[in-house]
Amino acid sequence: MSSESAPSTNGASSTTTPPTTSLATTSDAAVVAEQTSTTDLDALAKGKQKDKQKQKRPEPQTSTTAENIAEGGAGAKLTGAQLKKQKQLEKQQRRAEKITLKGEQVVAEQSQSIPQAPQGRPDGPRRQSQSAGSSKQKDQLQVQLPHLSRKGSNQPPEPGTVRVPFQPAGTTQTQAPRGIDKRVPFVSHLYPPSRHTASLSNAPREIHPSVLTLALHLRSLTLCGSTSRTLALLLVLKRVINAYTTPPNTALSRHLTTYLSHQISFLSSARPLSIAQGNAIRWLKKLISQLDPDLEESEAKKFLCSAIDSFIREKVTLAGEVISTQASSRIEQTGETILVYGKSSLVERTLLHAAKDDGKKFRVVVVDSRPLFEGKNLTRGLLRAGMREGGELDGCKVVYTLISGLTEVLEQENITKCILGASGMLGNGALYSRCGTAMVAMMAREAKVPVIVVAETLKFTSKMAVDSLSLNEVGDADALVEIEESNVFTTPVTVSKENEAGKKGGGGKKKGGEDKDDGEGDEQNSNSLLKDWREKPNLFLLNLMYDVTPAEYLDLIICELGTLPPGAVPVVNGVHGGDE
Amino acid sequence: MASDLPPPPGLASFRALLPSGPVEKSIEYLISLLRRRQIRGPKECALATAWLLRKVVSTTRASEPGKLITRVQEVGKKLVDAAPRELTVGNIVRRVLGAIREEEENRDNGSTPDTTPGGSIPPTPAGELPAPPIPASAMYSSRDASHSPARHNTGRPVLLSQQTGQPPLRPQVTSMFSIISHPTMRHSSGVSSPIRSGSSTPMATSQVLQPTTDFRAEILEAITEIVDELDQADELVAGYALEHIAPSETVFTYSTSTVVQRFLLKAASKRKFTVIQAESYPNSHKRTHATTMGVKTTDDEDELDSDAFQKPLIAAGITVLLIPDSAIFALMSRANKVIIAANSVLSNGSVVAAAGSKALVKAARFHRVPVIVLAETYKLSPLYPYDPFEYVDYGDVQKVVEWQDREMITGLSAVRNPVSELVEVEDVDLFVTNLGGVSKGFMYRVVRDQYRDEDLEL
Amino acid sequence: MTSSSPAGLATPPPERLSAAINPQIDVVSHYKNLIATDPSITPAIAAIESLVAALTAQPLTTITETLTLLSTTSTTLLASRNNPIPLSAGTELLQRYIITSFQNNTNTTSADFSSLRRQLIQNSKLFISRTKSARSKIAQHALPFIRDDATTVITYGSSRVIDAILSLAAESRRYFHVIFVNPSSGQEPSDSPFSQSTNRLLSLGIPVATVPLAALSHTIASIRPSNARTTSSNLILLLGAEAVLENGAAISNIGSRLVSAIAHDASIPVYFAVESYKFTRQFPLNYGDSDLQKMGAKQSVLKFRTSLEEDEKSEMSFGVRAEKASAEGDGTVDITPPELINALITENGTITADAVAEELIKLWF
Repeated sequence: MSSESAPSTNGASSTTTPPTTSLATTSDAAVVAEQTSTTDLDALAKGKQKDKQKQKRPEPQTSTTAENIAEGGAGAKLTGAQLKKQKQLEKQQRRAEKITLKGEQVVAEQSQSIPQAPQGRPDGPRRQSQSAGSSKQKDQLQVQLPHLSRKGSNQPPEPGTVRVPFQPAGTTQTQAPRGIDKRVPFVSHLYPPSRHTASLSNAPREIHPSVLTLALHLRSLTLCGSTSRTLALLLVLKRVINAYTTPPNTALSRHLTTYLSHQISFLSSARPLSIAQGNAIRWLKKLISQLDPDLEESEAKKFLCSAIDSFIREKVTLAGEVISTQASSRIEQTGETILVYGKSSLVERTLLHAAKDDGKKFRVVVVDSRPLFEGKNLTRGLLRAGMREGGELDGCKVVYTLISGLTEVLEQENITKCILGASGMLGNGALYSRCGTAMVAMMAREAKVPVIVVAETLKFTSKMAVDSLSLNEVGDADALVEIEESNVFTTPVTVSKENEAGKKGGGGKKKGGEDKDDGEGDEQNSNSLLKDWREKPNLFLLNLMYDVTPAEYLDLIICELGTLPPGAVPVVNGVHGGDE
Repeated sequence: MASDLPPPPGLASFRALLPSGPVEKSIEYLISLLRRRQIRGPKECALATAWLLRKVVSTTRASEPGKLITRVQEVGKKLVDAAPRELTVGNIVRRVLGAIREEEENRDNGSTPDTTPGGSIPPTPAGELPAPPIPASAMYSSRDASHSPARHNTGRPVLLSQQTGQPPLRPQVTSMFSIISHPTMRHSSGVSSPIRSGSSTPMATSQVLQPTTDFRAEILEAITEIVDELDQADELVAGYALEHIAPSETVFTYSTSTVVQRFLLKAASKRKFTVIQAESYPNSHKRTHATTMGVKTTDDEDELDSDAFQKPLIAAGITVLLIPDSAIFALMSRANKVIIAANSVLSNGSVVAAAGSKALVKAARFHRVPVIVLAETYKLSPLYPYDPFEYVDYGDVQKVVEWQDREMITGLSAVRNPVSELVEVEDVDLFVTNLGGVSKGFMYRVVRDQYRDEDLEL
Repeated sequence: MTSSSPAGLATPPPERLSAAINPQIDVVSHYKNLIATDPSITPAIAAIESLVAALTAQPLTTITETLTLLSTTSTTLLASRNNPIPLSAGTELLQRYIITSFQNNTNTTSADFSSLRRQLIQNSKLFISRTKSARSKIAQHALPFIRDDATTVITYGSSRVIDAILSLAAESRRYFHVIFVNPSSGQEPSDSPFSQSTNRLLSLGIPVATVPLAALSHTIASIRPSNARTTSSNLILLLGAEAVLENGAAISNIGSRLVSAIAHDASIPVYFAVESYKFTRQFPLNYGDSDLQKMGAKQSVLKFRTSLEEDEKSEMSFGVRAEKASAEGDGTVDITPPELINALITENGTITADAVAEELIKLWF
């Protein structure tokens, strides 16, 4: 059960939870171990969490897979915009640690502690359910649901605006008027049917708590990244299956599919399913429908759970290992400069594999973009792995820039390869990935830099798209409003370190000529420039999540089956692919 | 900004100091402002340069234009060295030099007897021909002219080159080379008003002037015209907006600039269209947001900024879709046109523009969307882009990674924040200047017409 | 001055005039002699010099006579060459010059004519001497393209102006690499102009590589990724041209178009270094043999055969013919279309291909 408490990003919740015989632990230990190692990479993105993990490691089976994944996901989403949030988290963490000391009391005290510390809220209900044990889960669920839904109703309808689970009820109320969605006409088909159904207030009763939690995290983008999302989904489904009891006079193979469909449609209302998630679900449903109807329920559940475990192992863990090894072999021993964009767990694995296991010396140029700044997490991950002056992997260097600096780095840094992650490989050989990838691939190609895509076959789909707007997802436009609160703590001393900036000196409160001449507002002002955009007629903000990179910009695709040209994607789909 | 506060170093403070201070001090001050990037941006630099040169011209005691030319060249060189990437500085210096030279020629024409009797071929003693006018097509490099020994070679005739200050009015057929140069070319660059808009004193009037006239007054007037042109250029460019934006179109634009804003507003006065605005993070997104929202940024103490403040497009009934830079490629498929502003246009038509423009333009190319570059004539620079990286300018790294983010700052081997970059001419479809539309193939000519051949190298 | 209409001048003059006056000297042999004796002379200059020599040798008294002689000799000279395009640039320029001179002096009486003619000839000679110095000016203008950060210059075919550029760059102590693209895959004979320039560069300490044309694509691909830091940032293709057409297309040794296309494909900028007197008012619609033939070139690269014997009959293989011809400055050529050309480096500065039309218009009107 602890596995689901983790997604609340703070890692504190996992410590609050005493080691229980969670449902996840029914999975065989090997899978868990593998998973832990997989997700370690993700967790690297957040050093503190890594530390946490180390603490936990001695206790067997405490740190379950989903937890790590969620942490990874949390780490992945942690953007610069949330540096402040991070502080809150730390505070919360400390508080949570105290709570842990108090042990079982916590459960009793929860009703009190929740209103006092709204940020801890989402953990609360789950702690209840966990301590209550799985046998009582259904009852607990009913108890929790009103609680959750009440909270849900207070939340702003747009995910990602704020860290939803931590949003104090008071402040969320004020944001309610933003709920009127301004939809960009020519991408209106990409918006979710209605934001309100995505909220948890009207979550149907049969929704499993772990599904609810996952939905929250998907919605708030605290869990993002195609691989993490898929893993989390599979683990949650495993728990749902475990908790499932076939109603009388129905066959498991028939009813379970419908039951899961409810859960899944709830998840997809929180955030549209990714291609890999869709593939995984399709696989699972097919497996269920093919179950021998005479199979005992417990046997069937056991079978399904172990099937999920081996699916994860085969399609994600081992695939990732094969791909990162292969991709790493594409990097020369020395002299390479690798261009990467945003964050992809596979790309990160590849780079670390090349640097650590293969001892290669290279430079990494991380290109990043608003509003998610996922590249910062990748950068931190690489730095923490030692790719810095004096680090373990000294000799590997990391350069960071934003997408506007793309042309400059491509030419000035003498990029030799570009490695991109995927959210999906489309049937026409196009790459469906984080918005901005198409530009990176295009400019790399323009500079005659080979473009390599790393993607598990789980992400291969027979869907096709020739432009980025036929298949996409619209993220929360308010995410664009948040501008990093930069320079808040900047002292003139640090400014003077900058070669030119230092000379400006006596600008008083002004940071310096650069900002001023760029016409940029004071820090306080700049943050709120777009705040009222919803009130402005004719103005739309659009935050597309993905784009489609045409196949002509891709040189090769590395999947666990080997290295393919983009044109061979349908071949994989036909022979092997996730679309089975 | 309250006027009683001393303005922070910048264009305003320079302007405030200019009338009172001694000229040397003004020069030094501007050099330091340029060097510290406290004045930056094409228009700002151009204005500051023009103001300073007006002062230089008015304070220099020169009995003849030749001395003035030397003086302006000397000051101009310093300014250009102080801000090598602000090409408008050099452009304005060249324009002012051109104005002085024109004055000089008018004086020469007035004072010396008419040497152009039609129909006779003056004897050319010892085979030495007077250097003919240049076929006005040369795009000299700024850098390597110093290597050119032939330039001032006295021994043999200088091929197709012209000594500084050579009178351009020549008998038409004294040498083979006269046929190489278009007979009217020399004149046209001075007379035809659209090409050198406000900058040049019309030949007709100046020819009437007697050599005794204070030539400096004429030059100062010419500089004032340059300043006026700087102020009006973007409005003139905007005047062509309706030629290029049709109803119901989707126009894609990047970053923000006064000229693009005016251009779109002009079109908005008559037509309804959609604008997709990419924000150009991290160097001008705040300004882009402010322009889009129609709010002022608080530090508009520079009067330029307040000049530039206009009502937002959304208030003009235009649908504006603001997107992050990462979505440029995705949304380009819905655009009919890309309109961006140039920081500078070089002699072969290559454009120096906000960082990220090249990727934008390439995305437009992929989607077969035509790219229109707006460039006021003062942004046209006679330099040739031998090395594209000379035109990459860098901004504050802190805008990319904050200083308090110690982990990133100390761990990263480099953080890159380019502000400008070079967009090759191949990817541009059309230029719109204050003289009207210019095809990319003809841009070289318009660029060259801005300046005198003698001033290509400062 | 009816003949001074531009349309009439662009084409060889009518036959009736050519019969009237016979030139005193044999322009063709004069031209051949010039080419043979002065290794640095270009066909256009040699053609102008031959015409001037013809004018000088002939005692002429009227404008019409002069113009007729000019036309006749030009036609004779052009007809004698397999590839008269480079020559025609020079002859047209001279004709145009002389016509303009006369046009501007229409009131000249016959008494003045001899002095006018003398003047004309004198100026023409001066013109030639100036034109010759164009090469060094071009070298000056090309210098900034060879940046001091280890530029790699790819060049093809033997061109005197390219030699001048590379020598100047080497003498200016720029450090760069040169890749000579060899049209044949065999070894160059040591006395070819090709290896002469190689030797000169080597003596100046410039690293030189010679690759066969067939290996060019591969060579470029090999430069790119491995030692990117030193070279890829500035790799340029620098070619000479025999003539530049009105649309900016360059006529150059056969293979130039191929080399340019390869470079263009690899995003390597293509620069043609060419004297502006080589600009000629011809506008091809296509870039093949037939288009060259329209411009007067007798070139036929494509010959089908049906048996082995026919090949024997043509005596020499294409490659041998081409090499032999190019030694006489009369080689097989091809046309590089303007879209492959990034810029033309002329003695007047670096211009775009689009600017050629303007140059020519200025020249003619």
